Amino acid sequence: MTQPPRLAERLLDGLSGSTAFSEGVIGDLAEEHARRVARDGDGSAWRWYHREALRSAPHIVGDAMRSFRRADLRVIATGVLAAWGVVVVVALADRATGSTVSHGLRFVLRLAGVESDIFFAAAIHSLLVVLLGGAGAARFSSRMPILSSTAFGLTAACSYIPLVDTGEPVAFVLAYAAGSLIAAAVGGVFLVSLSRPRSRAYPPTVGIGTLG
Amino acid sequence: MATPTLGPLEITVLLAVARLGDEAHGLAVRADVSERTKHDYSVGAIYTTLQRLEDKALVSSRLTEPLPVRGGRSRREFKITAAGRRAVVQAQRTAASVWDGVAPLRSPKPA
Repeated sequence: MTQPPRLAERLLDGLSGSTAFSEGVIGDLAEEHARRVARDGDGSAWRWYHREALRSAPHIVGDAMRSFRRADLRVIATGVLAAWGVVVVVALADRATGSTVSHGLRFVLRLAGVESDIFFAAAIHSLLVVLLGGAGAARFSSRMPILSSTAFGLTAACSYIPLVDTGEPVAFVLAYAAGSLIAAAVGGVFLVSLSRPRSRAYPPTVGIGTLG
Repeated sequence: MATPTLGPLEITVLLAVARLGDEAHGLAVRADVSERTKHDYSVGAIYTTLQRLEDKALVSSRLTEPLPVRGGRSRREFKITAAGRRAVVQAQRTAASVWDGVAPLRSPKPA
């Protein structure tokens, strides 16, 4: 059987709240993709799938929001806390080793032809740590992985607000905060792209109404 | 019980579910609606509408056994309910009443 594009399918899966709604939408996309591969060929089916995934994504997110329960808040909070745990452990390890990672990054950047001061290397380092945290948040809240990593990214972004008081330019703080948000979401997306689609583990037959 | 108010897409999707009978699943409904309205609705848009209709108890749904062609996912099948049939009849009456007395209109000639 022809598999639909893996990354797009898993992203849709990661955005969803793992409901019958997303099961239906992602399943329909897979079925129609297989039909189009047989009829129009791989390239055309691939383009159709991505276009349709992009159009259906807002509906899947909307459904995840509608089906949001109090228990999901706990799941997301667990993911965010786990992500901060990752950040703190990495930061402590880096401090204990005299900012080895930042110095190492500076060295790698120099090898790549990018001259940077230690401050720039530390900024890149912290974005990488946030990316790692985003992946951690997604790992610890399997029902809404991308939402969890984005929520963590939001808290990471907010943590930079106090920098404004230290005299850093507002544009720099905003760029740094936006970078953190994006890095955390990318971390979540990366983890989702590696994991097994969750909706295939959906209970085989779930009656959500009566077909009488 | 009062018949819920339906938007144009909701009526179109509800009619497609009624027309398709046992074959009313997401892809078939989307194909039927897109063909009749000459508009390419996204899979997500059709499901959102079907979900709204289910929330209003105008259709019911169930998941089938997982199917290999869907990557091991279930297919969601829809069926119109008694309340859905009443809503269709009501919409038909309303449309007939609105159109009553209007002479057949011709499309204006292009300028």
